[in-house]
Amino acid sequence: MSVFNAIIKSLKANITTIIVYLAIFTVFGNMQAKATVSTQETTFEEAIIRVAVTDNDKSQLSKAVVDYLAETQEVVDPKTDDPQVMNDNVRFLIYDYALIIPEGFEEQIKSGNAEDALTYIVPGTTMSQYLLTQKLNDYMQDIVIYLNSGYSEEEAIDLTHEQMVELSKTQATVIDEQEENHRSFFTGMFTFNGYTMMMLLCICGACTLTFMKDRDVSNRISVSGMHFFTRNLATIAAVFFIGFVITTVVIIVIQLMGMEYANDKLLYYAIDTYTLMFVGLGMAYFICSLTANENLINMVANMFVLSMSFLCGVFVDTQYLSDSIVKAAHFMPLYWYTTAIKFINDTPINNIWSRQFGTYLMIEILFAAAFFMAGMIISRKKEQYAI
Amino acid sequence: MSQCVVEIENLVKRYGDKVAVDHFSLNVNEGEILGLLGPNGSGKTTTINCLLSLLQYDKGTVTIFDKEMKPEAYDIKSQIGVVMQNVAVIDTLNVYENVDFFCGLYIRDKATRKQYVEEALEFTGLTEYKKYKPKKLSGGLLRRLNIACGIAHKPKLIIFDEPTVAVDPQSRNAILEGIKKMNKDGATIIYTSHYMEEVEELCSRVVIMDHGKNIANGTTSELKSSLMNRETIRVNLPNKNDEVIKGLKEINHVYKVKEDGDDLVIKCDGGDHNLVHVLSYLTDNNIPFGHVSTELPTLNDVFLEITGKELRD
Amino acid sequence: MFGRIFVYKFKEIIRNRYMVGWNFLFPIVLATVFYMGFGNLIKDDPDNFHTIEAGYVNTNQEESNFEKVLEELEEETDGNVAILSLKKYDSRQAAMDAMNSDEVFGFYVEDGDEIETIVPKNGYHATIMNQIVREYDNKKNVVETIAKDHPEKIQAAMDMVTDNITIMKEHDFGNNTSPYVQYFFALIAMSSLFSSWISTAILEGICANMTERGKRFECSPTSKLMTILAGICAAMVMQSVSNAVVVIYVQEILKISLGAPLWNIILITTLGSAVGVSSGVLIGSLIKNEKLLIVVPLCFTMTCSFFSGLMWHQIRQYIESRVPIFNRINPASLLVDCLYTRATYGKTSMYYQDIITMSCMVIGCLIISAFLLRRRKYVSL
Repeated sequence: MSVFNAIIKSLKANITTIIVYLAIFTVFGNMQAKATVSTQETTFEEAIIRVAVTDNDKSQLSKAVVDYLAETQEVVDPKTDDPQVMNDNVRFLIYDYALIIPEGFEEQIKSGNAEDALTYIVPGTTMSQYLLTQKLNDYMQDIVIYLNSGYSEEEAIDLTHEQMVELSKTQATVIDEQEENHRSFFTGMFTFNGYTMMMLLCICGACTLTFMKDRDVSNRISVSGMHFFTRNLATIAAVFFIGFVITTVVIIVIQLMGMEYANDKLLYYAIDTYTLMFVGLGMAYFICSLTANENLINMVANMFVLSMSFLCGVFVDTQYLSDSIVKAAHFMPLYWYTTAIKFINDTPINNIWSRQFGTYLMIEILFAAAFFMAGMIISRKKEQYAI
Repeated sequence: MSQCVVEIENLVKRYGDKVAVDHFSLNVNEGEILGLLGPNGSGKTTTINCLLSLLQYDKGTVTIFDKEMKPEAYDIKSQIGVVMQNVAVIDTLNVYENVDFFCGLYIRDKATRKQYVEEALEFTGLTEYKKYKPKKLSGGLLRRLNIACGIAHKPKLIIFDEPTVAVDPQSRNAILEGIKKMNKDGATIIYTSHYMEEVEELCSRVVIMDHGKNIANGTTSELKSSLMNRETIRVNLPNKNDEVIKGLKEINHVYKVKEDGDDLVIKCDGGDHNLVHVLSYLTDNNIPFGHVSTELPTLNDVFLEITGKELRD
Repeated sequence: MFGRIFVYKFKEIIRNRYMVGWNFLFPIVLATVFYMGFGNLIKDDPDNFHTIEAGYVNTNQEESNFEKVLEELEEETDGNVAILSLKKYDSRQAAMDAMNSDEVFGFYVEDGDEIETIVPKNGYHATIMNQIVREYDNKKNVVETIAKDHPEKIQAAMDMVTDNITIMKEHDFGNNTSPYVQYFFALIAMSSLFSSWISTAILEGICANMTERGKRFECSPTSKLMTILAGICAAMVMQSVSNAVVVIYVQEILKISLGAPLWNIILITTLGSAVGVSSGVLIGSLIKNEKLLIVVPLCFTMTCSFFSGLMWHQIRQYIESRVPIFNRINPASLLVDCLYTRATYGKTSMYYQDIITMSCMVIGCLIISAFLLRRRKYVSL
């Protein structure tokens, strides 16, 4: 029991790491999961675009344009009059679209030359750019046509506005037949968890194992009269205990944060996560067979886990990755973890416990075993050649 | 009369309420090897750090080579060599590079430096290891490298702060011989150690510090003679009993009689012919005895006597 | 003396495998991973407009105007992709099956005068498909209204409807680098700030209160500030080379255009290295605790890099729109902004402002550190 206790106590040295990764997880995991959560829809809703309007004309017509946008889109403060900053704001999604109504806009329209009367800033040829440019162009075209057809400015504005109100009744019909094909909050959280939990397990596991691998400490314990079996069992139990506690904490955190999105599949996500725990501990063992230096453990763990997270669909969805990278990702355990999560997400609850799900878990376990084996071989070779 | 190389007067260094060095004074003369002794926490290292201007002290003066020692006294620093208690080398540089680097902080001329480095390596017996990184060296070799880095620039004053800790007897012997040779070549040496036999062998003069104060100062024989009137007599006495012990205790100047296996250890406090008195008592009472020996005090006894035997921090 | 200390300090750094690992290897590994993760997104942003696969069912058995409008939308316009790719179906059910099997996104059903748009989910695709119908209805309404009120102008109005006047003009900024390149800029910033760790390690070996080696230094007749300066230069060279390697690797091997001439980027990243090294010196001269000397530079680097967009590329702009001052004092954001501005807009005033701020930071950090270290003649052991 004393070996077990000592290992658990030595975990205190890693408390900052644990807090940092849990904080990253709760903040970013939550943000990412909330941003990607989608549910089944039955009624049509227009895509609303955040548009920042700079009205330099302050005319009746420019006000009408701003009102039209305020009615149909989300108008926000551009926060700057520098087009370059606006460009950065649309590129980095502070808003989707920046509209600049230049001075003399009304005069230009009235003079009959409507060409290039409004300037907009967008992050390239995007959906939102196309949609709002199209809507504004239509709105302005109507006004120009009415003005040229003998209507007064007020009449043109009113008629166009009435038409726009009338047109808002034209709505598409949403027929959503794919019941399960929506990304749940749990899927988002558990996917991000692939990164943070692996980091936590690798660093905490490897550092505690290193403590036991320290030659002087292990010599002192081995001369203590404690049976070989007992002390190794204590080490294994302590490391697994740490892994189990970290994994359980993570799952509880996800459950607490996902109250409003709760679904019955948590159990399956948890099973996948506990399976990943073995992979994490296997990797920890493997890493600490390579080095006993804490700094190096951090570096190797960072390189391994970050790389896997990018390539296995944790940070970037696999649909955006090239085929060859996805193929390569098949040789990484995190890929099977995220694939299992997608499977849980897309499969009706009664069908999850299937051969396919079992295969994913099995592959993860095999990876864990491979890491343990590799770690053992390296440790043995190191001992043999006294490296 | 030889010139005074180091002069410390009334040095006081406080850490908050704790006085680490308490009005400590010390003179080191040219060409001597001064042993600075003291139990752990007695203020030796603090004194050395003040001497080297690494630490700011509260009171007192430190003069080296007749000049006041200050952090920017580069002309003084260039004549001092320091061998730290802990090994102070750069792990990523090899043996030669380490000695060359530290020597280069003192010697600018490339050719002279090269010669000095080679000599230092030769002197410490590290020539064949010059391509080795410190991590590949054994404890003894590492200590020797530590010394080479401190003395390569041929300083006039060398401070050794426990240079032989955790060193095997062969290496220790080599280090001590080296120090003697440096001294012979003209270097003045301040040597701190907990190994009394080393100090006895090496130092011409010894200063004992405790609680930041200079509590004893003199040559080793002077210090020992201060305890000369203490004598220990060891008698092999297989048939001893309480009566015999009581009888022995009644002899003049005997203040303690202790059993040690088959032997009796009899401590005498002053007086003449104590051995004759003990032997007369034994023969007069027909008490058979075996081997008899007397022991005079060592520097270790002097040290323990002066500083006390209680455990320190 | 300066040269010798420089050479030895440089040797000391490049032989330290942790420093080489973190400062050389880690950025290259991360750049490779970013390339694998974002490479496709840089080449083809998922937010870019892609032609919508749409189905069309005409139950009227006669050619309709709406169908013509849809066919017009199938044509590519001045370099832009076509809006729609139309697939015609005989029945609503056939179109529905096509939608459910992802053959088309959604479909239109024209029945009598009614045009129905059917989509599987909300979003931009659905709104655009719906907007096409609205636009068609709108133009019909405009023509009808004019015909009723001003019949004499109907021909001119019809011409205008078919003319499709372009009222909207896009502001052109020239070079349009992908926002995802921001990750690489943030990576370079992180790598530059990692050099703060090299500085603290160098100070550690020079200051007596930190290591035994430092004691040896301070006992020698060598000026401490000169030694530190030589160490800083060694760290600078090491970090600048490391940054240049990362830049060349990204631009020449991974073939990701960073949007500016190579020499210019390398010069900026060299300034970034100076910022990292000098901030490390400041940290080292403020902190005396050995453990904190590793933890603080690491936390400083990671915090600054995070806010410059290493993990979430929008955050820097988000801060810019709320607390811009934070971006002006965060060295990683300054470096990222400098690289980004140079790549996107060229040598603008913002670019020069970033360079000046970073230079001031370097000088400021070094002056304060020199002051602190000079004052600290004696160490606290």
